[in-house]
Amino acid sequence: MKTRSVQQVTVATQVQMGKDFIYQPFPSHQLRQVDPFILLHHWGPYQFPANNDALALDSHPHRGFEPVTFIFSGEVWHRDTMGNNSIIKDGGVQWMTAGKGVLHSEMGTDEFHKKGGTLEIIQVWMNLPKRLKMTEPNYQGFQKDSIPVVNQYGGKVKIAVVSGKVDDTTGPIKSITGISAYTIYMDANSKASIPTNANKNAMLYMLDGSAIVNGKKIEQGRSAITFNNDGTEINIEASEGSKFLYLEGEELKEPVAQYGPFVMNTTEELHQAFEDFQSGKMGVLND
Amino acid sequence: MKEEVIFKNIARHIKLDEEEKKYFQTILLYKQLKKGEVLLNYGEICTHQYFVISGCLRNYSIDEYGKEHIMMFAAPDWWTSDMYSYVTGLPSEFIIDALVDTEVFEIRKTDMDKVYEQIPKFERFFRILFQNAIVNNSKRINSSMSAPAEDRYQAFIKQYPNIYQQIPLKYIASYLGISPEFLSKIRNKIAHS
Repeated sequence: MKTRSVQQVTVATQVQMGKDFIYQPFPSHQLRQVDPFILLHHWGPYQFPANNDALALDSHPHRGFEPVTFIFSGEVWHRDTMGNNSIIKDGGVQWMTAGKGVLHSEMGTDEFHKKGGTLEIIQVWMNLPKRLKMTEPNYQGFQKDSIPVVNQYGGKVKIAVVSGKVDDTTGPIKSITGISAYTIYMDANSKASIPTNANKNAMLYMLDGSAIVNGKKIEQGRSAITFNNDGTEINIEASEGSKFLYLEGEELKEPVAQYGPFVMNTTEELHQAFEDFQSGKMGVLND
Repeated sequence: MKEEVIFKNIARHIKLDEEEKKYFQTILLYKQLKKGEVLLNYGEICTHQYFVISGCLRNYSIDEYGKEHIMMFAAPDWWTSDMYSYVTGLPSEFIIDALVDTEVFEIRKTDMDKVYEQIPKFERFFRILFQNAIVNNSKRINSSMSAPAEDRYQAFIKQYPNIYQQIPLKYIASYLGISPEFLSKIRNKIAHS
């Protein structure tokens, strides 16, 4: 199998989001997007003491894409205008298809606020093509034990298949655009081999650790690694314990108009999204 | 006459004769906005300066999680615009809307450029206005990085003496970068001190 050559390595920059500092490899000047992935926010790891107020993203709308949260540590309490009320713990995923419009909140749980602990999450915005921007909203939440793991290198590498397929193992998420997403945990001095679809765009985000990816040394954590579509395999050699998120999706090649919590194709569609939100067409989420 | 308000504002820095006033009057576009009405939307190119006759405007952006970040309020007797878009001709990243029913005068950029040629003392007027805006902005940036929220609230009251009691708490909290609950605590503390 031919390996994919590394296109670019982009280290995340720190961005202030309210009272929190988060890390954002893209969008940035170096990396606008990795079509169809338009935003990656890495929160933490933050250590919270007992009686904290961790994570307070109150009711807010989205339209035209899928905000997906991977929980590496801690807990996230999701509620939405479809009636979902879901606490997902570390190792789990919250995959929301905003489609034509939905309000949701993402909060720390009462238990986490009371006891404290480590919070580390990644939110990725997965774009929807024009034909699906106004699709019916949907929410899929899965805990760690519902996400199958592929072991490699004698169990020193664990690939949790959230969506898509690795060997014979299929993830529980039903992606309407054929996205593959895996979280990869590697022990020190281990090797992983990730099969990829050469026709789709692929990227790795290294949360922490130190590794060589397809021959390229990744110097520091919080790095996004993008690849050319010239092969089918990604090889990772980890010299220390390392964590990755792997994302793969079909390039949409459509104009992206984004403002605030909406991602559409044109500015006019964004204005319409605001109007629809303000007039209550996306519903109301009470506290 | 609505124009008297704007001429009084201009008279603070320059003196206009009757001919000049008459000319300036021809470029003023009067506009009424209902509460919530958008004057400039994000993605649009800002081609006007705005002067508030009555009511209140806010200039704000929205982040990815739907949170509003208020850059400034424009109370009666204030000038406002999105200078980034106005100067560069690029789409605005901000929204200007009316917090209450509001009356404004709009001046087109093309008309303003003619005024600078016809009545050069307007260059002086807007130089002073922009100088003040730069001073206020740098003070605001510095205090948002270093001053306690209570001090920032006191500075807000001083800067907006006529509107702070009319604007809902959540907007003031957004301007100060704190939660409405925290602002409530600050107000209670001040009220009881």
